[in-house]
Amino acid sequence: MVSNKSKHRTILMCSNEAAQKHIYKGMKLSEAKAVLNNLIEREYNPNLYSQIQNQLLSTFINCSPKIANHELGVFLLDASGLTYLGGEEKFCQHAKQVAFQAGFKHINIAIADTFFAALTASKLKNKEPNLISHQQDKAFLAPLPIQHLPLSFDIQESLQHLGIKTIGQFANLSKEELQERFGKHIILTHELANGIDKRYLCLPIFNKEFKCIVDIGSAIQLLNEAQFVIKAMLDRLAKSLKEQRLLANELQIVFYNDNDQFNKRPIKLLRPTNNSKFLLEIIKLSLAAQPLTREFTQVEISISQYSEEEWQQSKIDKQNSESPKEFDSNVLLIQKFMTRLGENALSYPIACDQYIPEHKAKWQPVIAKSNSNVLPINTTYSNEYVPTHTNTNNVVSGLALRKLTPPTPVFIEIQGSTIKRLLYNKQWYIVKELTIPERLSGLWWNQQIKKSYYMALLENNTLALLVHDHVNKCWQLEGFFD
Amino acid sequence: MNLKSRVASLKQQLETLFPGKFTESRQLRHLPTGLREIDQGISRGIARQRISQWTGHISSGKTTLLRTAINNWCKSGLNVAYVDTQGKLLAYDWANIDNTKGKFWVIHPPETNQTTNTNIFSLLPKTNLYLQESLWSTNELIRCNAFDIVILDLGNINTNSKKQTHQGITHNVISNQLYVRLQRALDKSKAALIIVQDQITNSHPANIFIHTSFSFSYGQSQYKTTLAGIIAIMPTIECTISRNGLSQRMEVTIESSAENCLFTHPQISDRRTSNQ
Repeated sequence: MVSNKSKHRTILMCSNEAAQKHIYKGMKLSEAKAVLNNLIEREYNPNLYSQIQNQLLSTFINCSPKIANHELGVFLLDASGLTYLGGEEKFCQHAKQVAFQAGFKHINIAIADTFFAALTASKLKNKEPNLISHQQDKAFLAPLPIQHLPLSFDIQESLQHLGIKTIGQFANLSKEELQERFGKHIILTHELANGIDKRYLCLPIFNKEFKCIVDIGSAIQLLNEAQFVIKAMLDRLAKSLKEQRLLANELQIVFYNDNDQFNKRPIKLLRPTNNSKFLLEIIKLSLAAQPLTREFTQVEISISQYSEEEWQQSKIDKQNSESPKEFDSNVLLIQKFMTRLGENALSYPIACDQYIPEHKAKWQPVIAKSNSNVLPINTTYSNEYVPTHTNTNNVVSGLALRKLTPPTPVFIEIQGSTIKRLLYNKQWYIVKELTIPERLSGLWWNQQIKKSYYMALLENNTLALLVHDHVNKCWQLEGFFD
Repeated sequence: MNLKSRVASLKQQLETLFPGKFTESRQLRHLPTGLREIDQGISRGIARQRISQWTGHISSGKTTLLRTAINNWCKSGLNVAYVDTQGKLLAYDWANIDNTKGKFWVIHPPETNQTTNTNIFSLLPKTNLYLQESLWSTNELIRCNAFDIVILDLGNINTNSKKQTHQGITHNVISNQLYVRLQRALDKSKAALIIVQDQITNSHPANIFIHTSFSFSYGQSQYKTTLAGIIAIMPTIECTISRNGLSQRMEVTIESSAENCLFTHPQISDRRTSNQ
């Protein structure tokens, strides 16, 4: 089995026959082919294997209710209390029978007190099934080579040079000395070698699936005609969510036209919910924003992400309302805007730690993302400073700019050292007055900016922000003051 | 029947025909803007549950004055929503608005990546799409009862795409039906709606849905100079308020204190920048 990446394809797992011919996990495919001519390679399909793994997991529950996935094809089962159920031999027979019925031929089974001892014993071929007596894990592991321990190749080599070849020798080493030489992480391996494994099994958690598919039978174009169908589907999904005390975080709706899937839309929910009426409103909004291009005959609604029901409401923003009624109203409002106009549609301005005009402040979405890179600064001191020192009541003085998106390149006519005219929108404008430039530069670590900012009064009494970009060597009109 | 009672009954009849136009201003609650000239004029601020128009040519100072009013409203604990139809606002101009008490939220035009493939709106010109979404947003913001002032900034959409009938009369892109819809939403809420747009031609017929109209124009230039030259150009703003057939002209001055950046981040001198 090889990884399906285009470069550096490696062996993910191999058959016993291949292992006997020196093929091992993590080996490069080119190397493996050089070792073994008639190597048969299979592409790794993670979805398929995880599906089969889950299928086997649910099958093995017949043997023991406490079960865990260790790695692909390796399962750990709780075999305690077997004395009353026919003993360990019978348990092994039952597990083998279940695996055979699922279509697997090669099965290695081992029983021990700890995970690690059982896992190591299952890999040994001398005895089948390999049963280790109670409290004999350490003794069983002692003669085995250190390659069975989860150690890196370098550490194994170092230990070999020191003359430590078996797990028993490794277990007899001082814990402090090992920690000093190889680091903290080796303590866990040392405990494993001594037959101590603190991992315990618990009941497995299966992925729940919430999905509804309805084949309407005839072609429908308008949502109104199928609204009752979607409402019924959502009611059913909401009911099953409520039964399991879950809330939907993300909804997915798929439209088919005669088994041909033509529209698939995931809808993120601002706040987890299991309210079918609310979900219907959101679907309607989504369809209003992005209508369907074709008629549909079949519709599928599924809950793609869900979470456990919480009884504490999360805060939406720092300046949130006090009353629960207003809170709900805000959430609904934000959800509507998010669904229809996009996640960043609703925002508020926030000053940042920069001095270039374009980066001095940013529009912060009302629903702040965790990975937001805005570094807000405290502006309260300026609100106190300005009225006392400038005899004005407003910090927000000066003219507001209406920017042009994107900035428009303009032609400039210079006479002597002054700008006389500029060509904008196919028309020449005489520049009546021009301020001295504000020269700013910076951001050399990212994309260097070196600009001169001029305020220009044009002949039609229009104040424009004219910028000379020294890096790109061009003149641009950034916007008009208004 | 004396003259006063006749006038009152006439107003009552006219009120049934044109709701909101002939009621006494005392019955309406006004939001003072904090700008002395406007608050002491015939408008007495911005009327709640009514549509106000805020127009002017580019550089007439309308956005600057509106920003000052928004700052005052937010300081007083009022919530303001600004629908920026064309996405022309620059964040740093608005970052110093004191929103500790009141909210100031801005609604930007829809993301272009969301409206590309399957959206039927993608077949329409972008201006129409933005206008459509802005009107929907305005309606929702009024109806949610969370905001005291909703501002619909149409920018130059009106002047760019005004419709012209066969008689040669220019019409606003917001039709009368849309005005009625917005007015109905306002009737059920406590919000005031301000429609900001670049100057419409004078031939535009008077709109009965507009309660108060504020029209701004560029007055005289004021210069701030230093030894090196002019560092700032500030206009005096001429304002005309029209309401119920009355109009009033005034001059509004804005004070330039300093660049906002001086108070948000200390300027670091950059030695690589030439002084020439």
